[in-house]
Amino acid sequence: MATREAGKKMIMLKSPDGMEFEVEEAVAMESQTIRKMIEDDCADTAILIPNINSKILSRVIEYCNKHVPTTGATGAAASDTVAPAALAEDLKIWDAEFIKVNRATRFNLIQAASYLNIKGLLDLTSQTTIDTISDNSLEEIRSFLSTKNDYLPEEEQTIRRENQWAFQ
Amino acid sequence: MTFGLRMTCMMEAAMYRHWSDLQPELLGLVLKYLPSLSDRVRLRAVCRTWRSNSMLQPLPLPFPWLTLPDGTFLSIPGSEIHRIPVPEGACCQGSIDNWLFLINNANMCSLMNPFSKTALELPNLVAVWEREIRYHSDRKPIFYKLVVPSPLDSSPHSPVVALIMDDGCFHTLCISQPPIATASLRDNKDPRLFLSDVVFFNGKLYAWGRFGQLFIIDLGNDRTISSISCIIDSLGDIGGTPQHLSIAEEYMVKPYLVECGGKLLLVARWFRCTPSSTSYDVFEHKCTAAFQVFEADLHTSPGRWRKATELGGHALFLGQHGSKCLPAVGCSGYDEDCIYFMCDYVWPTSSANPLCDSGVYSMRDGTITPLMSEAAAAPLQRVGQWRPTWFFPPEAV
Repeated sequence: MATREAGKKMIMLKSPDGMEFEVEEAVAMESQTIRKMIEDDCADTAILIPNINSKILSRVIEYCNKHVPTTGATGAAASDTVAPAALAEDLKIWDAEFIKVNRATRFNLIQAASYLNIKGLLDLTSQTTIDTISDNSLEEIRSFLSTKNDYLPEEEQTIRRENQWAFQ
Repeated sequence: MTFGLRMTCMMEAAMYRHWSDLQPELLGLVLKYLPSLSDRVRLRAVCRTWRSNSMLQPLPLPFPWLTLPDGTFLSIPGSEIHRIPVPEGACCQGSIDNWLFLINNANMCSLMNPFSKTALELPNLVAVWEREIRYHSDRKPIFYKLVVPSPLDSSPHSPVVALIMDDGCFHTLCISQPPIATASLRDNKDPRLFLSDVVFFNGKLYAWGRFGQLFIIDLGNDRTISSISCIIDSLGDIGGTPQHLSIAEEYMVKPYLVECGGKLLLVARWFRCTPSSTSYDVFEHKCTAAFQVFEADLHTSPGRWRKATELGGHALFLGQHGSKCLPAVGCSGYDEDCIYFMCDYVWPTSSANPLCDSGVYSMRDGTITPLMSEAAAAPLQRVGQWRPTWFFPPEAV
């Protein structure tokens, strides 16, 4: 049986704040952006990931590592003993824990997931944001997102009047 | 952790900016996850940037609303009740997309977009029906279905076709170039014709007759009926009880003509009928048990009904006043190859709760799941004269 050290190709991801992360190529390829770079031979041994700091990048790698399809050395054992439905359920619970982060981190995770094109993470971060927004009043949404209301009072009145039904 | 982590530098770059800085494409993405129009409206109202940026991305249509008897609208995700004013005395008797078909106390008919408040005056359909019926003065129209060849928002001068059913169970077809009625026809004149449903498909008007017959009704340039021809004249694959239904029970089948992803479909809704000792109407306690879908194959002459097993990834909102298929993309809140149905029977005429026979039928596994949880649906017993119909709000308002 091949071991990770012996059989897996590793790749280096660099964040703009100078941190380096050594990850399995299969894990990095959860990101469609990185996959394309690798497939196009643009990735030498290290890939610089602009705009995503080390703190966020490490969380993103943690996510990809969990979600990489479990085949090969470690995965074979897992899929032999655990039913796919149970695995999916386990992933769901893991996701729910993973996304328990503050608003700033979630904001950055959405952006990272978008830039790196990781569909699962994008779905997870957006859906979680939506779950906290939906059915809340405008004031609650603003306070949750800590966004400043930059409308003039008259403008805000007009917006509310135009779609009064949504603000009742 | 199975990934190697090598720290070469400790530096915390502050990436977090304001949520108002969320790029338009990401805001669009977040909005896509909101199946409810009111949430979208509120999210767009958060700040100036979001208001201007949110319109840059194409969004799926939000989850449709359901009109309730008391003149309110039910948004199913979140079970929110919305109130949008309509002209005094107007009562909703149907809908086309995001236009309500209203009849007022004086039988004046109109279509109204409740968001833009644009109104389209229609001919007095009650008067058209009265002219057609000539006698039987004790009869009255009880049901209307309106159809158009192209969306009214983009084609405001489109002809409007109305199918009017009366309590004698006959149907009157009225062609109009609003506000003028240009032609009308009552289906008691020709025993072949039994126009229980009509639909526009690829710009042409189709009508469902008895025993699997599909008619094409040609409209002349002057919006009169220039010809009616039968293009499918046999049941084809239609027939037989759906697999899991017991043949010992009594069923009733209601056909619906539907346009879905470039196909003309016939959807058969099977009701299980439970005779009631307290009511003369054996169909009063009916309950949807299954659906069958057939596609009109118009490549042959005559055409043929062929059994369909999926909806091409669409979600179908089925209604007697109008049905619509929406592509179930992303997280619009509705699922692929599912039929969303509710209780909009013509009989009994006083169906106070459109959710009493509602659900989501999966074409993939034949199961029916509730449209709303019982707890959410319970407070919806409402009194009024509005007919239950799907209403399809636009992507954003």
